[in-house]
Amino acid sequence: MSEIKLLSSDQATITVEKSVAERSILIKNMLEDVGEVTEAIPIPNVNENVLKKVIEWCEHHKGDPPAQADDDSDSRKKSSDIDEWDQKFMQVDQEMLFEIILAANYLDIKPLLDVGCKTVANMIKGKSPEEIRKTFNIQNDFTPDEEEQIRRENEWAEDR
Amino acid sequence: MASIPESRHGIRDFISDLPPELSRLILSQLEIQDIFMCAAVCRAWRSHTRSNDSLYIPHLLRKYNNITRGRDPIPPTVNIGQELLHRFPHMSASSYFCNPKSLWDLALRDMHLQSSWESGIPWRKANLNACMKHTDIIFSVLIDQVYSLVVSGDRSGGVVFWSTRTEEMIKELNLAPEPAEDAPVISPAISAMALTGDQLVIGTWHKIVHVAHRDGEDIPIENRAFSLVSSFPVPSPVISILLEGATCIVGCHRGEVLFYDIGVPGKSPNPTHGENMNPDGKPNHLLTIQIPEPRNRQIRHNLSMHYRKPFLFTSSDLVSQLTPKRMDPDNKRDLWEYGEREITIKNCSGNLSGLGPDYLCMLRPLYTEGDLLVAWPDLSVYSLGNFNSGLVWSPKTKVLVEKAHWQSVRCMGTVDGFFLTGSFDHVRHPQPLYPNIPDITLPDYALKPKTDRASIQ
Repeated sequence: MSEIKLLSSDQATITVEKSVAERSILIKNMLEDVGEVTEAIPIPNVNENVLKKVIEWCEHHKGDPPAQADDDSDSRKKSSDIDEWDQKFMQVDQEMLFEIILAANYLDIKPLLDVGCKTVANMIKGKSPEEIRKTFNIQNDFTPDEEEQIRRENEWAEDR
Repeated sequence: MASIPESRHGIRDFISDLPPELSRLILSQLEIQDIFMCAAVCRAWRSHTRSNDSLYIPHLLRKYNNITRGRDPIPPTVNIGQELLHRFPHMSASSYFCNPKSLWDLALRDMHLQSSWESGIPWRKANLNACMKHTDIIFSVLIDQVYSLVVSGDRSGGVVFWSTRTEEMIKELNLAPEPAEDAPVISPAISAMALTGDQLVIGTWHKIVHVAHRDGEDIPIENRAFSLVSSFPVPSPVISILLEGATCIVGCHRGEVLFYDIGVPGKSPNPTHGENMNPDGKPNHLLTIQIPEPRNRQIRHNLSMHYRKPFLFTSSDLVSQLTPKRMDPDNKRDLWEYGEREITIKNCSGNLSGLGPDYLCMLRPLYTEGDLLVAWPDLSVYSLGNFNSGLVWSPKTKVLVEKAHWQSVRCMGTVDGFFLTGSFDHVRHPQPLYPNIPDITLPDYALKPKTDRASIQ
């Protein structure tokens, strides 16, 4: 069982099983291009904490069948269907969730990116604008005129 | 979800601070309702959601397929509106999708429409008759989309054309017959009207059908309505009327269904004089079909009719389906015979106690290609579909009509997804001072000039 080393943005070296690291299409392609490497592969956009978290996910999912070819028509299927382990995995603060999404995108781990986006989507679903602001600590910066415009637009939702 | 420590949150947000393709990925997981909620959060979220047309495409495509029952999925192309129009030039839903400024506008329009439909609360009530042009109960109403007119006919033979833009009267006609001394008094009520293209037919209780043609270019556009060109007698009072091309189908009180060729309005040889406006001469009787007596003797025949090629539906306390049995060799027209298809899906006889004989089921198309709506005397509305192999009924909504009216629905209309209902509500009003135009449920934009019509045809 071969192992490779990854170097995080904050210069921490992490050793990881090759097959686990290859959940990342970026790393997989890189390894295919350069062949055997002994040096640590630099991952300049991801810090140690986040990288460890991502590797934890990859380890759990290393046995998953390879991702289906892009099936966009299916991507709108219910986003609440996140499996239990992933739900627990995603119970992190918003800053970490934000970083995981960025890292999954950078490392090209589509299933992880999907889980991250679905988690955020679930935090939005069924909420009023005010509840969404509260959830994400966002300031309402609309002018009264804009507020009125929005109120008219969303009249349909008043009985929701 | 783990609670977020106060000190750490709020620095970066998922919509504004992620790369746009990632925030779009998040938004694309949401239902359309949630996307509109996001658009009301803050300016940054608003601009993200509004500028992303691709967010609305799946919803709108689903919607479009639902409306048209189209079978093949439409690929999300760059200019979706044009693509839809190109592919489905004849669909009634085309105008629904026509020329939106953006898909955002279209999706928002749909949300409003949907909520209005589901809540049963009229979008808008307009009392066109505040000026009391009608002094009697209104019996029939229809919409002309070409010039955005509402046409209403009352119990004493008055027909009024209203502009939906100005909500003012354009023209009125009095079709009450001259009182004859020896003849029995018959109500001159305008009982049914139908309109196709440039032709309007008006059926009356005193057994006359009037044919009117659209005013030509000699009349200023804001005053254009319809002018009478001919009339013909029928054997019993008119209950319902249909116009299919040049064929006028008249449903009468005693169960006769009559077919007439009334021609198609052509160009007048001399429009300035307005004479000889009926190029095809007299209406020509083609065929009469007699519908058997309804089971409930109190009930009038043929209260409502609907033609859905190749079937003709009639209703009294039940719905009958007529099937074309032969073709008229000269005119290549379908001619119907009374078929064996008579279906009592919902027998309303039991619910009729306390209601007069006027309260029967009404048939209206939901969309040109979609289901047929049937309003029953108990205020419920059902949809009828699958015409070729066994009819399928499904309850549409009961709430819809109950919330809008106290009484049974007397007339219904559908235009491109808008639903109009009218009843004798005012009878129960504490002070029935004057008759109302039946409540008209129209979104604001439907009242605007339909300048986009030309591009649909």
